[in-house]
Amino acid sequence: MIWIYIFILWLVYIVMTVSSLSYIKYQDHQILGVTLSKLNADNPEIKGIINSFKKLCYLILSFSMGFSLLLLMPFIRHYADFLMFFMMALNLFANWISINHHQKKLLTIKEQNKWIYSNKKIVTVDLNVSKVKGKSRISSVWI
Amino acid sequence: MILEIDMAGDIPIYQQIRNQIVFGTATGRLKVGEPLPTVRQLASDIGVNPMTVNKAYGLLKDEGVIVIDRRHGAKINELPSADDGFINDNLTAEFEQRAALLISEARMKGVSQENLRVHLNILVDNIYNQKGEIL
Repeated sequence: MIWIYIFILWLVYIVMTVSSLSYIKYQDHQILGVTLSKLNADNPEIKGIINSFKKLCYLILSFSMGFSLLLLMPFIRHYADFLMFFMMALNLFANWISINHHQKKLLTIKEQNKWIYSNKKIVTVDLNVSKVKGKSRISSVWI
Repeated sequence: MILEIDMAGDIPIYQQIRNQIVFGTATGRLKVGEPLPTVRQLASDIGVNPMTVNKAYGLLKDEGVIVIDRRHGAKINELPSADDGFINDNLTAEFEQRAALLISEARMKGVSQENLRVHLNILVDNIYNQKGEIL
């Protein structure tokens, strides 16, 4: 029975780690919830922070998995269900701290390098092109 | 002529279209009689609802900047001759109100009277001499 608890815990830890790691993927112009251009996202400083975040995620996972083995100890077994939720909360908190810490680091680098992006979304349309668009093409007979 | 529409700006899109066509016509970047794109085509190119472009064209038509022909679409109307514009008292009052507000704003930002006159003269010259360098 206790091993089922441990497996459930490990499963939860793995899901949490995967979801944390999914934040480092460059999507919607963001990394870890911080807006960066593609060029700036490839900056070595940013790559360094991402690597440090990855390492911390794996470290949290390893520690959490190791810590969960405490449930096997005979005098703790009686409180296993309570401890399971406590460990889950602890893991969630550790992941949150890690994300928050790295987000702050990213924001500091962004401020230091003055990577300020305009929030303007300009659409340019050439009226001359727009006018002729959609008109029928010259028949191939004439070419 | 290139239309530049700020999709995240505070000014409504139909107003931006209308303003830029007015600027374009006044500075000669859009010639008298020049056809404008169809409502659907322009809406598709900008990426907005055709009703937005329709509203802009409607405003321009009401102001006499464009004429809409059922067969040939929208075209730039002929510019009225000098002094015709201020015959209408309502137009004079509206213009004075808007200009007074702009001048007041400039004063509040610390622009000197002389500097403002020079700047306004350059703008008026640019528009009336059709240099196309308003903004």
